[in-house]
Amino acid sequence: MKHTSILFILISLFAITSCDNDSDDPETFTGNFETAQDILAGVNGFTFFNLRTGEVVTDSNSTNWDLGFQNAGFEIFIITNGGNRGPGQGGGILLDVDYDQVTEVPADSDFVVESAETYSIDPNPQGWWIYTATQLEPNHAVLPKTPHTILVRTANGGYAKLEVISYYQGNPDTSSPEFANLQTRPAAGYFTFNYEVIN
Amino acid sequence: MFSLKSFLLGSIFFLFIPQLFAQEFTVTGTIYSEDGHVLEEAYVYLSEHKWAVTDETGFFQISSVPPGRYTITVSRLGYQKQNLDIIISSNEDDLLQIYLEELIYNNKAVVVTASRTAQELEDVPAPIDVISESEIQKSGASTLKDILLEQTGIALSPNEDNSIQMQGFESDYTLIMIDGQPLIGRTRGALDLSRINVSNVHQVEVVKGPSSALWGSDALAGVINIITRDATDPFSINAYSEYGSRNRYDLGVSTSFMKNKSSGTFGFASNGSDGFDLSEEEFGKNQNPFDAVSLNAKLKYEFSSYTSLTVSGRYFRNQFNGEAITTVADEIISIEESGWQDDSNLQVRFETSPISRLSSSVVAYSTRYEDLSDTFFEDPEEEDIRTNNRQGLDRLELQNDYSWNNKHLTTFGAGATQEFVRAERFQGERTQTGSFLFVQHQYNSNEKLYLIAGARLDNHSAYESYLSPKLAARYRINDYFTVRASFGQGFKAPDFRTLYLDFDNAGSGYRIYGTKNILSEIERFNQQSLVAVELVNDISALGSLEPEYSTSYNIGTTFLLPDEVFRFSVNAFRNNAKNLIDAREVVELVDGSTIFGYLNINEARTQGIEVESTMTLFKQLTASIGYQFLDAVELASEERTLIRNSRVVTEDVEFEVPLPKRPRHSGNIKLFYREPVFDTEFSLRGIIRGEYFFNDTNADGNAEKNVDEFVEAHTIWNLTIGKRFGTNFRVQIGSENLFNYTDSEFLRFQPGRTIFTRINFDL
Repeated sequence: MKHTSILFILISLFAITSCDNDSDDPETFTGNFETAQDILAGVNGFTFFNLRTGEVVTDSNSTNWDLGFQNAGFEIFIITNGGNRGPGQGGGILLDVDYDQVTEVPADSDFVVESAETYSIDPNPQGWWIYTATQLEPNHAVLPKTPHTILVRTANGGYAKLEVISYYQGNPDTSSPEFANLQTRPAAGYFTFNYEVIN
Repeated sequence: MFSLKSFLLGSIFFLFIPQLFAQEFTVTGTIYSEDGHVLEEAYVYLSEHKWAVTDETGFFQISSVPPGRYTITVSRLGYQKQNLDIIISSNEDDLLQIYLEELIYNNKAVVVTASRTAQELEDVPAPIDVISESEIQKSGASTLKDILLEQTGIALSPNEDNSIQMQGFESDYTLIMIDGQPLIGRTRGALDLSRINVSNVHQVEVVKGPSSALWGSDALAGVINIITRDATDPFSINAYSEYGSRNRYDLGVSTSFMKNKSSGTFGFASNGSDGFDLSEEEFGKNQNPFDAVSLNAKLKYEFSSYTSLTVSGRYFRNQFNGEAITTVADEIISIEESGWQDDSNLQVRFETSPISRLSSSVVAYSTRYEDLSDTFFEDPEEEDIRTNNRQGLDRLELQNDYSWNNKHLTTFGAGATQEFVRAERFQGERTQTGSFLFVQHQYNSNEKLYLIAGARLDNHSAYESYLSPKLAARYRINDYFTVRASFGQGFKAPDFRTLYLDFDNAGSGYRIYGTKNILSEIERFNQQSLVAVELVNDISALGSLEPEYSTSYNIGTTFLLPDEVFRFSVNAFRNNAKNLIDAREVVELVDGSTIFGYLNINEARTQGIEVESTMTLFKQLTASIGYQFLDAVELASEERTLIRNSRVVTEDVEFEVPLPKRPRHSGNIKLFYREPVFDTEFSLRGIIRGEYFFNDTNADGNAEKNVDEFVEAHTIWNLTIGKRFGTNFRVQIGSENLFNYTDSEFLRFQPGRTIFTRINFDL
């Protein structure tokens, strides 16, 4: 009985917020998301990904891609399609907020555009990822930082939010002994992330 | 009530004989203790010239007693005096059998740690616990560690062997003293409490909450002061011997004398064991086999009733050896380890009263600690490693107590300390000097209100001066209720490690420099153009460290029934710790490696409630329970990027990270039962620990089940059964960790079940 009423309230709230979205501000996230699995980052170059189709693409000199991934050791790049790194309207913001709590898209001017000096998404440790070194368990691992959410302006001017779930092949349980053991740990450089695109 | 009981006791064994002849009779009898032992040297009084003293069989005889009605009085040291009405009318062998009740001295415990002056325990305004000699004896404990763990609010630290946590702080923040002087020789901040043998201990006083206003550095979470025994008899000798599981042994002998103006105690103790091993798969033991000896002596000469000289000393040595594994160039190899620890101290105390109402004491104290450990590799190519570490502390201290009248007492004093450490990792010898001044005033208004205010100023060569205040009050509402409140500050000086220890592990990509060297080291890298990024705003701030400090509040109440039949106390505490020192990455070099430096950055908050209750259910059964609720968090702040009003902003967000390895709920149960028929003492103690998380596995600052590692709730039971044989012998058998609770993953310092027997001889 109690559950039903809570559910009812939730549905009503959802209905109210949905109404708001439709009428006033279309640039809000609904909470539905897709998951991209095991996108292998490039090592010498980038792996390009289209958030709108959910596919890896090869043509870098186009607006067919929204994100580029590169595993460069102590820098892990997620670039957007814009500025000096692509022909699109792309940009990015790295937020220290839980993915679920990001509901709106901020002002366009707050998006960081790629340039020679800056990356729209900080590639360094303590940005969206941490390196455990020998100080944290499991040792020598790249783990997504909690909390983090990446906001992306897509190549065609739409918006997306994204949360990296795993940096290892097959999205392994990082608290398992198999993961702790460097001999049995799955390969690094494989992105698994949740994302939602709005136009 | 009592006289009625004596009357009944006496009447049972009394024979009423009708008066037949008008002649003189002989009165005989035997005096027993309540539990049936004969009592010699009891004084039996009939009238002015008719009295006797019992012999070794408890027998007495008074002859030439004219018939009639008498009041006979029996008294003996340590027993309640008894009066009996008797009628004497015949000669009767062993006419009277009189049983005396033991006199329970409701000796009010006197403590010194809370105010540096002798105070009755129930008067003290600050939270203080006293562990008495008899509690130590009943438990059969041999080292300070064993007995402390059974106290409310004290937990074994999972980080270092034989060290404790108090009020949510690790053992680095608790000052440990013998007779008011600090013990040294800490490993990574922790002092090994198994180094302290309790066979010569009169009582252990535990003050919870900061006490730096009296005792200086390290008294941030609390103070443990071990009070050694004074001679109380003309001559006494005590010997004990214990043997238990895993070849655990403990034996000792001590003697004391008191003659005219001089008195003294001497003791020798030796203990050891084969260590213990919780997991066969893991190489090496959880505790290595060890053998330790300790010697102590205390001599006192009283020139007059208020002038005395006391010299006391202690020597301890522990030897260990064992096997372990280590990693050399990513290869796991087995090694053999052996070594020793050496710990000694000497204290000379002169007390006098130069003018009336003033008592003064001068204390000279010197202590040394040294440890040595050798590591031997199986591979002969590999060179054996020897580490050797020496530390010392010398102190001269003066204290004056001036009593203005029976309500006001002022204590003031000063002292100077020199400390050194000598070790390879400190590049030779490092010396520090310090001096201190303290003043305190106590006001005691006709038993109702008691106030203490005080402050201490510590000057030091390695850091800036530090002033610690304190204020405490006790108010007795009525005969049963007392309330207490105190405020204080405690500090911990930066230790030698944070000041001088340099550690270069360039192979693993990091280096750590002590505060005194870091600026010149960074400058050296700068000159070679090797510095890539400075990771802190103000590099020059790395060159000096301030003391860590905590501001603390305690408030509590005690409900006490007469004769300590029932006691209930509750105390709430809160500590706000600031300037806590932590190592952080401060510089990144061009090769990607980092330099760590020490900074006063962390803040923590610990708060909780302690409840203790003791009740004497019958005269033979005492039960006590203790409970502590603890909430300990680190206060962190982080720059976070987030969205406010559709704009991206960066702001400082403060959040709390629960400190790991601390149970939220913990407690203890203690039962002492003296079985009267066979005169056997049972002591059962349970140490209860609630569930707690051990590691924040995914480093997100939250404790999560299934993700983080949790230590499950558990209780360790200890049982000791003791029986006296005659007046000289006491035999104890016992079991520590009766139900063999072990956890090889987390409770690495908790051995399995230990069975032991102990024989104690007193003369």
